[in-house]
Amino acid sequence: MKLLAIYAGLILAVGVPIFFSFYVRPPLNLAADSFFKNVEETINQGDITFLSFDFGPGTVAENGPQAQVVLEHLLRKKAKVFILSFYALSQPFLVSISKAVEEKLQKEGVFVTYGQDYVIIGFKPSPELFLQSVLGAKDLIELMGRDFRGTPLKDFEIGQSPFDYTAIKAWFQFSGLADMLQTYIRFLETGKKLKLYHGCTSITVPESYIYLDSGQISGLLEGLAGSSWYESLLSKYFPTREPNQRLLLQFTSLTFGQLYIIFLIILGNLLSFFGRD
Amino acid sequence: MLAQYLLRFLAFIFGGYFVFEFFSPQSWKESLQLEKINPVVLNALTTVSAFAVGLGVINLFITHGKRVFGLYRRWFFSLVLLSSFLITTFCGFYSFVYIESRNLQIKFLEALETNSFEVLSIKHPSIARKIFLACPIQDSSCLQILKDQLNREIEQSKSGLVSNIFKVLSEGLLFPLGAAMFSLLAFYIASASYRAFRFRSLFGLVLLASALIVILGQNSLWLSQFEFFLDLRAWLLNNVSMAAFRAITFGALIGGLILAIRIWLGMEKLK
Amino acid sequence: MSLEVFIVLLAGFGTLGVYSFLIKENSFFRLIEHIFIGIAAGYTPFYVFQNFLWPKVFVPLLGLNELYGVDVEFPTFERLAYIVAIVVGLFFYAQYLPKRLQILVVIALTISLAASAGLAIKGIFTELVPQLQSSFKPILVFNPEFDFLESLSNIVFLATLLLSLTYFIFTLYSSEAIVSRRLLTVAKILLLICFGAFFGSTISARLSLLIERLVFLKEEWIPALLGLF
Repeated sequence: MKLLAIYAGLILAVGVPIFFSFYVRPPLNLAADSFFKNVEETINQGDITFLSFDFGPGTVAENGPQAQVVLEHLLRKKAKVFILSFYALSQPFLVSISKAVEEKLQKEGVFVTYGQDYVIIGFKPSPELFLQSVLGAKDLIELMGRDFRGTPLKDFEIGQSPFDYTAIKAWFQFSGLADMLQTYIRFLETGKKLKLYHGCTSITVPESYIYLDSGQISGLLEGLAGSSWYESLLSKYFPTREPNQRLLLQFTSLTFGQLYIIFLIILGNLLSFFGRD
Repeated sequence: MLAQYLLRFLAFIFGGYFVFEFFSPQSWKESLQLEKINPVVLNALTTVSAFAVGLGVINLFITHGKRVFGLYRRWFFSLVLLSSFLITTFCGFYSFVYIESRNLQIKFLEALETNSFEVLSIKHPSIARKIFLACPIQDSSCLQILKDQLNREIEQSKSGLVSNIFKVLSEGLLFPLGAAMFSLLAFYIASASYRAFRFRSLFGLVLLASALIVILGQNSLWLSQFEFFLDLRAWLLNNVSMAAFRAITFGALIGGLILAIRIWLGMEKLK
Repeated sequence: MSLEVFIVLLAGFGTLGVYSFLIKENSFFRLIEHIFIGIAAGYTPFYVFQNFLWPKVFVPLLGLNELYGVDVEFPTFERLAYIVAIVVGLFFYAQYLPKRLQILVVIALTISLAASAGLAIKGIFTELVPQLQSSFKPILVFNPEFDFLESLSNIVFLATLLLSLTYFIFTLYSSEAIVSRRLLTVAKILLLICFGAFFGSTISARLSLLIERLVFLKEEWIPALLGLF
């Protein structure tokens, strides 16, 4: 019975903001702030960037919004974006997130064309194999071959000019999977040969800081808090843009949920202190 | 004894290839054409691992098949599991084979523009036979119609019954149920916070304080409004937490390195 | 009812079925659990075949590379490598054969593990060396004047790193042979700060998963359900 009350309290705490649709402003997140400013200052029109959506249904709650805000930022800056994944269960998100961003931008009159501004490579098995090949390949268009529908990349405008890894301005990787980030760091020799930006789930935030400090990753988005602050920065830099209400709603719920958990910890300890369990 | 030597030899060769490839100078890599051989070797080794997936499938069938055919308790759920497995696999493979066979025929037709039919039919006899039965090879308009028809069939199959079933299974069940299963953990965190998290000592207090700083530092409603608190959170994560985790990482990496070297040199008994 | 609406309704009922476990374990949850495992188990072999085995192994093996417009440098070597790989891969199934053939399983395991070990040796160096390099921080920082806070941070960092490393030395000596018990207590506290940070982060991660599902139920499932009436 007590357990049910705890569960019901949790649903109430996180559910009330969702069902009554009220929002709080996300607080400053230093890592996301630095990430945004890095992208804003270093990525220019025509720069080649890679986005890896290495997340599935288990972590889409945190990685999905990260991928969405960063993709939107890159497309607004008119960078050339190649979207791929090394996780089989991420395939639907490659299309759904890209489509959602494209539709959002088109509503604002920012026209983005598949095959010209971005292309979805799709799922590539065996990240060790592919990432090692990236550093050795003379033409990455040939290495990637086709998009997720099987159309040769050379048929698209984005695939007209061959390029190697030195032309990649930045690689953005979003994942909550154990060891995935380490695979990129090991086989792409990030920090030395390539700039890697990482969007992680909240669980791996303390772990990711060791790579941020060593320069092996150039930027870090910390779960939902990071993507919420990034979202608010996008609204600040592009004032005509419509904010992502769903993301702000999720962050508001998270805020209340965290306070509820803290309340439970304190309540449990107080009751235990006074001898009642 | 001979088997032990064979296993050590295999371990040394297959492990040593990557060690050699990593440590060898660029001139050696160029002369041995390692950059061209490497993808093939990696693909081949990944293939070996990929075949292990079948072991899980066989195990699944043995475990749940016994329950179904032996009519054990809850045999119905095992039947549901095996049925959903078979339906998913069938739908996936059927769509794939349907689309890929038509894709190959389209590619054969495209290749006819630069190669003769005789040359291609020797290399790909089964595809050539299908094309030959559908159209006279000299009739280019018939070949174009065939190509358009194949493209149409591929497009239609994407919204066909089998594709729709696969879509329902993946988007209607697999992804949402996966997310829901993971989200149960939130409830367990809540119950653990109430029942198990006790700060009876200095150590518990330190753990809790650190957790509170990290949580409240990204919480809109309270202490994060003060810049000092945000700096404190960042300092904690960038210095203390990062240093401690780096120490753990060093231990893990060095331990991993030692284990990898032991496996490579055949010092770990696998039998 | 369109397919998309059906998918949303199914997803919502499935989600609620999973949450029914919180009240009590029940047959509906069991049914959903088994369906989920069946689909997940069926998805993986198909994806491995479609995305790896077919394009990377069977296409070159069957000589279809040319049709896909892929130039191959060493076709004979490639075909031989894949045939050997398939044969070795099939060795895994020798565990269902008589006992004297079990050595084949060990051969396949040895090759897989040795290759992983080789890759790990390569990977660990590229991961470890930059970590070591960035751990050497100056104790006294001048920017150009003496920066007390930065220096203190670096000292705390180095102390935490060294004490935490010492705490985990099990192999050759016990930690107490190297530093005093008081310093080990300090090391424990510093490690607990790290674990506290992990715990705090984990709470956020788990809550995010629940929130995503609730948002789905509110914004997609409930409108789809109401749309039926």
